[in-house]
Amino acid sequence: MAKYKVTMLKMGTLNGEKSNMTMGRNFGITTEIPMFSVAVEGNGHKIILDTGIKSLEWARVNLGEMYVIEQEEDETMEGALAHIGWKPEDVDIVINTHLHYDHCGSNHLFKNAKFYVQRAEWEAAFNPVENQQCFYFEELFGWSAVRYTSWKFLDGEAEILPGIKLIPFGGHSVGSQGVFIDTEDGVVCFAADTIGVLENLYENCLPNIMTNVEDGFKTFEIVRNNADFVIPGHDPVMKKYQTTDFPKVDKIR
Amino acid sequence: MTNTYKVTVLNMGHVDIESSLMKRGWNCGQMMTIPQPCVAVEGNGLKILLDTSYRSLAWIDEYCGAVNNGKDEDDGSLVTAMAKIGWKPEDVDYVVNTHLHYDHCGQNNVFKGLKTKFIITRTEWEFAQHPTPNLVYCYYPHLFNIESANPDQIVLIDGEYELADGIICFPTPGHTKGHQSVLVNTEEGVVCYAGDAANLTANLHENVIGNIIYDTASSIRSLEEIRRRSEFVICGHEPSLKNFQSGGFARTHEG
Ligand SMILES: [Zn+2]
Ligand SMILES: [Zn+2]
Repeated sequence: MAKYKVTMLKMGTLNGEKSNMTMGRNFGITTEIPMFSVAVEGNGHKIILDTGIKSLEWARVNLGEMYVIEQEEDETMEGALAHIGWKPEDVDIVINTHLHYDHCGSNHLFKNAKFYVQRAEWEAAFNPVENQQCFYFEELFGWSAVRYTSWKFLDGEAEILPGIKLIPFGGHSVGSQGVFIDTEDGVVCFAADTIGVLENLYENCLPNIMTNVEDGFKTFEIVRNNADFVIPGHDPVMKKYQTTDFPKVDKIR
Repeated sequence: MTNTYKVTVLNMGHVDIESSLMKRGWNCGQMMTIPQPCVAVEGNGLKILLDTSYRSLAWIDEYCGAVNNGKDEDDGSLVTAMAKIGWKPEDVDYVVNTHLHYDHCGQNNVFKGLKTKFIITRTEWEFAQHPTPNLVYCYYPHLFNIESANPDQIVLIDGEYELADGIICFPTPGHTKGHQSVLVNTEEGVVCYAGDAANLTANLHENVIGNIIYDTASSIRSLEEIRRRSEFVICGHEPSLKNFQSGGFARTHEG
């Protein structure tokens, strides 16, 4: 079985309301919310999980007052890739966990890649429910960013390569998916926003950007049953360029 | 990396038609001249034809009443047009029919008994046997049944269908019940051959549907599906299309 190397890429930091990350908790506190993409290498492939925001400039124009965003030089997609010795054109697979602006913002950079997303997420992205309209921008995932013929739409669970499995994650958005990767240390799950911070999983506390809560709780079970380690999408405990010692799925173990 | 293909318009000829049939409410009662194109797609070791135009002007005269001012390009034959781009009928791997109106499957018979597979939606195939009364005059079973294609050449598809890497058929109902359009990845970007889901580029730019119709709501929706998926478009009867045009296609999104 192929084993992959996993590297955290930091895509900048939002400063925002902490209770967005935890339903019913941490109200009125402004906190640092880092954004992460992940580089996965092995079995002859270079894979990027999520692509961060488009640019600081884009965020300032399009997000307005919602968040204050900071980005160091190596926290743009190009900057982070250069740091690990990759060029955008080397990447042959991009996986979008979902299509919120901070997870597909730099899709347009990857001209040679196939893009994996759940079809349900793609469909929902064009007509989001009211409370999610502020997260979807067609220019980031539509025809001008990614050629339609480069998408690989999924309807459910799929092992896209030996040792890389995508599983639909209900809860955070209509068609989110988690990425399960075989590594030397065990199976690592990139959970993105369905487990935005470890507190979600460890304390069974849903994130507050939510579609259906029952689906959200089921997602925690899927992660507990299928992974040894978990990478949350927005937790300050994760370190830039971290490649090992990812948080254990079962905190006690 | 997604395969790219070369796309070439093969026009069989022109006919005149009442303008508002192409764009609802537009120039009612005035005739306009429209082309009857097919599209040749080549690359990735494949030769694929999208639609096969009409059988002949004489055929239209016989089955549909008088042709309005019909004019063939060359002799109006697909074999002649294909020869000009170096194709022989026996080279063609697939014919995709966007729908089974007589001016889109008329020369399917050129490929009868060859290796060619015909890619048709199951819905269109069934609709073509029993069309709604307003569309009966468009369907002639001998153009697509065993007289023109062997049963083992017919591939009926459901929903969106990746014919090859970089070529995707997707449902665009409205003009007919089972209409589909085809996306082709090219060097310049993704080209959509709309068939009659958009007769004219103006249908897309102005979001106004045609008036040879099965269902209006799905027809409008299909224009949106085309816009989501493509950068360039070849519409089924767009007068500005040129014979053997292989680039510089109209932009799906105006401006
Ligand atoms: Zn999100
Ligand atoms: Zn038609």
